[in-house]
Amino acid sequence: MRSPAETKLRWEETFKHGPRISDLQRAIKFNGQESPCVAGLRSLCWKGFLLFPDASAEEWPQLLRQLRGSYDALCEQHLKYIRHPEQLATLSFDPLADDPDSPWITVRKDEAIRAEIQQDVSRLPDDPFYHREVIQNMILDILFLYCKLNPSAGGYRQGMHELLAPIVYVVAQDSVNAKEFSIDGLLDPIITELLDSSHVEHDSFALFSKVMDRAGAFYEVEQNTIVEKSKYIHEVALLKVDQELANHLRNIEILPQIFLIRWIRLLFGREFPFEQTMVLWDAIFAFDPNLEMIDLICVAMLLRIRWTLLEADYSVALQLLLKYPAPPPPHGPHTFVDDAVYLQNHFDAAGGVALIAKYSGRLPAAASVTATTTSTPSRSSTPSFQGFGSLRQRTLGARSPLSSTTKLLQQPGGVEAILRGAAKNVIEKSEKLGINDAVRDAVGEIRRNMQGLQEARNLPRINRSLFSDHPLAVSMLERRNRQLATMLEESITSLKQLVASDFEGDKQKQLETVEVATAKIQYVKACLEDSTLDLPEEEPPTLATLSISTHPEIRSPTVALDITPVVVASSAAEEARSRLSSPASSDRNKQKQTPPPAPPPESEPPPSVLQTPATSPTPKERPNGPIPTRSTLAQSSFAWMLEPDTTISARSPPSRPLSSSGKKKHNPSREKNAFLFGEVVPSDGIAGERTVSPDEIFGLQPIRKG
Amino acid sequence: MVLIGDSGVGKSNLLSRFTRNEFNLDSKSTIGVEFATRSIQVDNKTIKAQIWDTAGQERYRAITSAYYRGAVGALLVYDISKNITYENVTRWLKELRDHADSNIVIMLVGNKSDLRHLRAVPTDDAKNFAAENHLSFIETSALDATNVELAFQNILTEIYNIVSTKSFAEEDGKKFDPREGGTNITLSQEGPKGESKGCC
Repeated sequence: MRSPAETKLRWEETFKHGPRISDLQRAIKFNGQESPCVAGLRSLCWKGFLLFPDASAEEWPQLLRQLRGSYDALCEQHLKYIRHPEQLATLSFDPLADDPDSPWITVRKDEAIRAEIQQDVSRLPDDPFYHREVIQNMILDILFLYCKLNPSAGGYRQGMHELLAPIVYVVAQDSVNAKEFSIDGLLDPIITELLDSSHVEHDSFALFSKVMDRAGAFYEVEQNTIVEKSKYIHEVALLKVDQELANHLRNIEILPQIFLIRWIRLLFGREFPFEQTMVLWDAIFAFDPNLEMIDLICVAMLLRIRWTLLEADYSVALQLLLKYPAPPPPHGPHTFVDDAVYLQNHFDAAGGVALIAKYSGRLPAAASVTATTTSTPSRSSTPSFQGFGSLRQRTLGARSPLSSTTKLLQQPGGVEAILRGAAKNVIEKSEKLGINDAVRDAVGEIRRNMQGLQEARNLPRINRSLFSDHPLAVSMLERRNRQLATMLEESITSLKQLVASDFEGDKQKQLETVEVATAKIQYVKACLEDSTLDLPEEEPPTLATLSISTHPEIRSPTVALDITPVVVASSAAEEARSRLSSPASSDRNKQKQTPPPAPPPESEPPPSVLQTPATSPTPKERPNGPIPTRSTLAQSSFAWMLEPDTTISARSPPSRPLSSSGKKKHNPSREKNAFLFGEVVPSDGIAGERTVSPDEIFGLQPIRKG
Repeated sequence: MVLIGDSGVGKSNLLSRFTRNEFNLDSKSTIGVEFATRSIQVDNKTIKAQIWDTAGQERYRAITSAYYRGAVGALLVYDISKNITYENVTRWLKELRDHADSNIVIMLVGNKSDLRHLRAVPTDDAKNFAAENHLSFIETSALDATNVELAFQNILTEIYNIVSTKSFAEEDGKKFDPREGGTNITLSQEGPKGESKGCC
């Protein structure tokens, strides 16, 4: 417990940046050791972020009083006889009766639960604080109450104790003896109330419950959420930002849940030293109180050690992942949250390249090929920082306008004009068709959406002359033209079909067809006028884009990120990717000026129109590309559940010296291994081909609780 | 190879004693799984054992049951000072019978043999139980290192013998040749590392 003077100092330190949550967030983001969580009162910051995100500081005492009151009521309800077993004797129940309503029975069951919890609580980390009797009891009671209140969660799970213990530690560390200090007038009554040492248990429970609102899903067993989440992180998120690493981990047969179970369930508590973990939690609670970025934090951690991982075989990689190497200062674990925020806004290969380059100064092989090619004449034979550096130099001029607005990279710029034109056209055409009333609203919506994009459109472009002096540019332009031609062809086809149908049928659908086709034609026109415009992504707008819009407050800190590498790297990565993807979409050689277009208003394009610039984001859809899914049930590890005999018959012969060709690309043993760690097959048996539901991604909805 | 058994019986310490010769009285609960390897000599051959340490909590069985399907050996650990952990051996055994390969080699391990004064499970009881169920049996102490090395050595040898015998039988007497560099014995049944790695 601290002295009143120090507490007062820390109080001032906490709020010197301003009284609002956003002030605290900013202070945590930019102030390092001066962070209000480090120099000030961490528990107060956590309470703000987790318990009172929408309340002003003046309301905190009142809200805290309510939470404390309800905890007292819970204790009275569930801990009465455990704390005062002598009261059981005063009851009229027979202690030996089998009456399920008997408090004796309840107490016996509760004691069993508590014994299970106690076994882990007594095995908390070495810090003597955790092993004080009063703290042990406090942690036990809180976990017990949590389990009583959440019976559907399946009771106590190992790991919860290590989520709770640091919370208790932080709250207790900041607490003050309210009675003593307020009577003496040493501290403001508000301070003593908020930090009251007699309510450490209450406040810890409130914080823990809030964390478990989301983290509870990580412990859920029946649905096997954690395995699915691990799969998503590896096969979707990591693949999207670093295909090479995702493929390598798959090829060496690392199953992500092996290490991710612990990373995620403990919120990285065992991966880093305690103090660093706390700073990481500061950042998580400040910027991601709903734990929606955990997946991307994991991806960021993988990216940080990707070079070592790429060289690692199975054993080495596992040791590395189960004993994560300490990130060297100043890029401590909390910077993984910065990375996650960045990835959220740049959820693609370019984003991955940027982060890899940022921390290692090296470019991934695929990206560096392009970088060295384009940075003539200093061509380097090996992937090196030189090529990257010279590119960086050449694009430096474009940096300042860019860094002043992250929107440019997040939102469609060039597409805006096209869609605006499309909207106008839709009105004209639909008037001819006599269906304008039905869609006027929709078109108005397009226009409104375009307003916000105007600014980005008008911003100065990145220097595109990079490519103009290189023969590569010519072939890229040719490819681009082919793609534009394809788009025109598609539009013409769909319009012709419409005419052929003599406008019979669903007017709304026809209108959509016209709308999309027109937009495409306009887009092609604009692309022809301005050769620097990017062609649309093949993929639907990233899911991250969706969640960005739901978290505008999180977006602002990313302004500080150095985005220069992105500008450079995106071209490299785009080129690398384009060589892998189909020819029709290959022409994405220019800097990423126009990310995937905005969703259309209220409508989905007809399925006949492919590659429309206006694609409604469908959260159910996985990103395109060679995702190493354990595709079908029959191929997967679950095959044995379908037909137990198939796997047995596949075992031939029972033993044979191993050959290194065991690591072939589609190693069947990978499939066989896939059942490791309980890929328990859902009853509908589609685990092999399951799609990603929105709530697993970035919190489009609250995470399901089991 | 997998280590299974109730929470708190000392699985993680058995593993750390065997692979790193370490023991930690305050070792934390295992979350999910841990993994360690060690190479030992059997019959002048180097065998690299991959050993998986699982969380003991019952509710993890949904995860571990699928997991030890791939193991070729299992150390089923109980605590000689806690009868309940011995009683639960039957349940763990059933889990293995239900989910693991039918040829899996199982060794029953009574750990914490240093706690003589607290003994709750008589050695003979466990020995008889093991015999009835065709299990090997040993009592160990990860704390004072008694029998830990022996336990692992025995089960690994047993696995090796089974594997190499099968190898002779099914490959027309072709000499089984464990390879250097970590890929020693190939077992056809699926495992945490399947065909490509290690023996356990």
